[in-house]
This record gives sequence, C-alpha cells and structure tokens, in this order.
Amino acid sequence: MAEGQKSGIEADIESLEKGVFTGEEGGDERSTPRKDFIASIAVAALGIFAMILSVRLGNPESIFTAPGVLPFITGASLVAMAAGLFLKTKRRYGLDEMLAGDSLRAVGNYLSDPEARRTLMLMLVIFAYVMILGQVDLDWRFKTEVYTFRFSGFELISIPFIFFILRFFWRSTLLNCFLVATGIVVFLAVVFRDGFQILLPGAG
Amino acid sequence: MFELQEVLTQAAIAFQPWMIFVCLIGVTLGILWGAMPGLSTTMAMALLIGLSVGMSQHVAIMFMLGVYTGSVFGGAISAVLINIPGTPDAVPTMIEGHALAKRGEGGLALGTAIMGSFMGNWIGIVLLIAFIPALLFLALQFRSWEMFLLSMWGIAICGSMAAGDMPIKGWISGWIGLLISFVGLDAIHGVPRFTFGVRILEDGISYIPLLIGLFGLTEILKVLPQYSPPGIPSEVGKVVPPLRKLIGYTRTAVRSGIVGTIIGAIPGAGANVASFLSYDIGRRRAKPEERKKWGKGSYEAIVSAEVANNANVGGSMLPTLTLGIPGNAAAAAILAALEMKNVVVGPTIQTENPGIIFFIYIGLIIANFLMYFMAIALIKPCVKLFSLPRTLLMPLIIPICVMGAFAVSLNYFDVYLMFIAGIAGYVLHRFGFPLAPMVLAVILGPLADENLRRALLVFEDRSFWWIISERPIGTILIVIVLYTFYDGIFRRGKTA
Repeated sequence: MAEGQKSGIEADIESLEKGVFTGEEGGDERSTPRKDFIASIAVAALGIFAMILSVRLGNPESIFTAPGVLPFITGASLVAMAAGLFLKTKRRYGLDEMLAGDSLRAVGNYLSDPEARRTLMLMLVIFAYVMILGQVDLDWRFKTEVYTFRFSGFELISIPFIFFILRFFWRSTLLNCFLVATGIVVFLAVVFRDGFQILLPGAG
Repeated sequence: MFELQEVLTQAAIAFQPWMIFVCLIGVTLGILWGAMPGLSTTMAMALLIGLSVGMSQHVAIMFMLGVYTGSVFGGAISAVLINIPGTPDAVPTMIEGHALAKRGEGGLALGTAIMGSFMGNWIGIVLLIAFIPALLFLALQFRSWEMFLLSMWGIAICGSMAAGDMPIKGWISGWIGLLISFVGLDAIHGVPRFTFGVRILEDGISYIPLLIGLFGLTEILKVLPQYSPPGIPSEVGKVVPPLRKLIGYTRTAVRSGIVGTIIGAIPGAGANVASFLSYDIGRRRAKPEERKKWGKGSYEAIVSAEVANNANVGGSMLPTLTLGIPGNAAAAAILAALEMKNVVVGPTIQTENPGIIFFIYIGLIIANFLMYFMAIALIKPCVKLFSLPRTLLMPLIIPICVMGAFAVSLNYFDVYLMFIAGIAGYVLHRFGFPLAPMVLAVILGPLADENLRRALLVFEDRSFWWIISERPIGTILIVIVLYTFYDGIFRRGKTA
C-alpha cells in the first residue's frame, strides 16, 4: 500500500514545490500511454454507441425538442474527445510507446501483482455480498418488555462477509475478526434501524 | 424587517439543543473521519447521506453541515501527527506541521491549524452571506438558454479543475456522466432513453448511490488491498491556539480566505486546489526571512493552507445554493441531502424554501464553533485512532456503503448501482480519470437537457445573430465555455 499511497502524496509534494497545478484529483494515479490508447478507443466506441441510440430514439414533434438532441451531441463530443486524447498521447509519447507491449502479457503482469490480486478478490467478495444480500428477506424479532431485539437478513449476511474480509486483510485471530465483524454490523444495524428509523436491506 | 424576522425564526430553530447536539455529532464524525488517512471528506459526505434519510429537513441539513465542516479540518490532525494527510488538501499542512511536530511543536502546529480553520470558515461564511444576494439576482436573469450554458460550463470547468494537466480526461469523465444522466424517461415527451427495455431504468439513475459507489466503494478498493502499517504519532503536547502569534498573520489569513472562497465557488475546484494554490501564493508573498522557513516548518504556511481549505466550505455553497451547481464533490453530497429533503436549490431557493438560506448560514456558524472546540477535544482520541490499521477500518465501511445506497429510496437496485459505480470508479481511477466531473454531470445533465430543448424551441425562428445580440448573458457564457476549452486544450496542454 505504502507504495501507492506514498506516490500520490509524493506527487502532491512535488507539485507544491514546483508550484505546478495538478488539479483537484491530480497526483493520485498516473496513467500510461498504453492505458490512454485503450481509453481513447473505449471512449470513442461509447460515443458512437450513444450517437446510434440517440438517432434511434426518434422525433415525436420538432427536431428541436427531440429526446436524442443532447445525447447525440454528447456522443459526438465524446468521439472528438477520444480523438483528442489519442492525439495528445501520441504527441507526448509517440505511437510506438502507445502500442508497445503485448496485451496478454500486460494482463499477466497485472495479475502477478499481489495487490491487484487482492483487489480482484475484494471485488468478487463484495459482489457476492451484494448479490446474496439482495436475495435474502428475513426479519426475526424477539420481544422483551424493554426492547425488541431484531435479527434481519442484513446481519445474517453481513457478519460472515465482513468476518471473511477482516480475516483476509486484517489477519487477526478468528475470534477477534468474529467479534469485530459482529460488533460493528450489529452496532450499525441498531443505529440505522432504531436510531434513525431506516429500513435495512435484506430485512423484509 | 421581514428578513430579520425570518433570521430570528431560523435562529430559534437552529439553536434548539437537539439541533446543536446533531450538529455536534456531525462535526465529531467529520473530524474523526477526516483524521483517518484514506477516508476523504467526500467519502464522509457521501456515506453519511444515508444516515440523514430518517432525519427531518432541518436536522439533516444541520448534520451534513457539521460533517462537512468537521471533515475538512480533520485531515490536519494526521498530517501533523503521523505525516500522512487525512484528506488530500492537508498535504501542505503535513509538510509544515510534521516538521514542527518533530521539533516538539506539534501542539502549537495543531493549534495554528485549528485557529486557521476557524478563521477560514468565518471568512467563507461572511463572503457567502455577502455574495448570495448578488448571485441570486444574477441567477434570476437566467432563462433556459443561459441555464443550459451554465450547466455545460459547470461540467467543463469541473473537468478542467479535477484533472490538472489532462483536462480532456476530466471532460470525458463529465461527458460520460452526462450520458448516465440521460438514462430514464425524458422530461418533455416521456420517451425511454438508454433503458434497453429494463423497466427499473425508466426512473433514471439516482446520483446518491453513484456518489456512494464512486467515493465510497472506489476508495475501499483503492486503499484496502494496499498493506500499510499504522502511523506512529509524534508527541503532541498541549494544544494551544496561539492567538497572539496569529494576529501577525492576519493579512495572510484574509488573502487565503478570499482565495479559498473563490476556488470553492468554481465547480470542481475544491479544498485541494484551494489549499495548494493558497500555499503557493503565500510562499511567493512571504517576507524573505519567513520564506526560508517554508517547507521546514512554517506557521504562516499552515495558516495559508488551513484558512483556504476551510474557507472553501462557504465558497462551495455559493453556486450550490444559488445555481444548483455544486462547488465540488462534497457540495454535491450537500445538494443531494437538500434535494432529498425537498429543498429546491437554485435561483428560486428563497421563494420556494423561505428562510432555508438563513438556516444554512446559522448552521455553518454553529458548526464552525463546534469544530473549534471539538478539534481541541478530539486530538487525543485521534492519536489512539491512528494506531488502528486501515485493514481493520476499511472493511467496516462496506456495510455503510450498502445501507446508505439502499436507504435513499429503499430500492435494492440502488445497491447494485452503487456496486457498479464503485467498480467503474476504480477502473476509471486506474486509467487516470477524475471522478468528480462525472457526479457533477449526472446532477446537471437533466437540467442541461431540458433547458437546451426549451431554448431551441424558442430559437426555432431566430437567427444566430439574434441569439448572440439579444441574449448578452448567454453570449458571455458561450465565450466563457469556449475559453474553458481553449485553456484546457492549448494553454494547459502545452505546459504539461
């Protein structure tokens, strides 16, 4: 981590020392000519796709009020911007550098990076969490004289998933991970449900 | 007379103990959140919108203003004590403050940062109050053509400001956001656009799940897989706001406050640009003997940065309240919270929501006082918090993202949307695209679309020259939009 985070901060410090404007989100992640080349193609494709869809929307009344007017202009502008990005990258680095390397090898290199593998795994786990929570519909209530204890699908699904993520990234003992996951999920559920009267996902 | 009565009515609401308590919770959460490295102001704002869903209108506004004010300052604590800025705008404070902390002056450095933040907020609030009437008057002159151009300028300048040396990437991000905003039934004919036959898409894409995905989940995906040891805090000592010392920096504070407020009022330029620019101007204008200290531990430099990034809060509220154009991504979250509570922002804010502007002024003032006291009170707990690893904290934010996205309209589709936005945000980040222009465009897209089509209908039988000559504000806006693109393509392109 330190690598990535440090590079962002270091870039910010460097820009401060030089008095160079890096922008509100600048100095955070540096792109590469190859990435810019891929991005320009993807953006151009998106722009063309938007233009086609806009034309297909039809024209219920006047051309001036057609629902596809601004979407078409936006799509066309995206194509122009994609061309601009391509040309700018080409001027800065040259076509050879943009096309250099093998795509499969680049993917392979990315996957060989432990941080990238952890990111992909995290994405998959969050995806599974979101999908499973969307299928659950459960709301158990245990009434006592002072308080109604509730246990919903949110707690049922969130606790094991957060436990797993903590276990993998935090690498503490099983008991610590379980206690933290249970504690925080129950705390959040109580704050949202009882404190702010907000319905939770997976709770019926 | 009527306005005074309205101010008193709103003050009576704002000074209720419950309101102050809610604001205190917001400020406390904001400071703690901002102090944690990796948790940004925008992330705090985006995620805590979910918590404000169950609150009444005034309570929600008070809470969000507290979070905003607190989180902007919070970044300074970790910057001084562990040499990692809690929020990106605290980098200048980190350079100066940590150098001072290593010399055993950490308490004084933090005191200066607290006092600077307090002054910055005041300058921002005063300028907000001073300029809102003029801006509202100007905004009321805008018709559909001008509103369209203003929206497009908002997206364009946000792209330029967010992306730094590659404005084209900021614009692309904004234009993709525009396409997203078109999804759903169009406002004039009710024709489904970009819905691909999916019924749920006909309602359009809500920008709150998008905001949570882009600034919550994306941050988790960026930060959690990177292993980092917890920071080792420097000795903080007694936190003393050095009042006498700060009187000598009055000019610096006023200048930085004005810079911060102006930057805040420009869509897309937030606390980062404000503190960096103010720090740079401050260094150039410092006296030679003081300039030697910059970079090695200068109190004046801390004042420059902290006053500017906090004045930015008031500045960002200017276009948000008067034009409905958020000054930055954090202000977009304020806008979302206001709209969720049926507050119509824009030129008609005063007629449609009488008194709400006064309530926001008073809320900002209360939040500022609370920030001052809580900042001093929370330094020690923050030091304890820094010993917690990010690998423990970040996973705990995942359920907050899910709950926040779901809470807005109790529709699970929004959770899927949040997830997709989070992944897309991560990919865009890896390719060097900024995310704020996309959010701004999703907010402004419907406004731009509807107003362009209305304007085109009005202009149907008019010549180009008639439009140019008879609509001077529109013509000025065209020039500004074109200049924004020119500046991004030619000037900044050459320096990069």
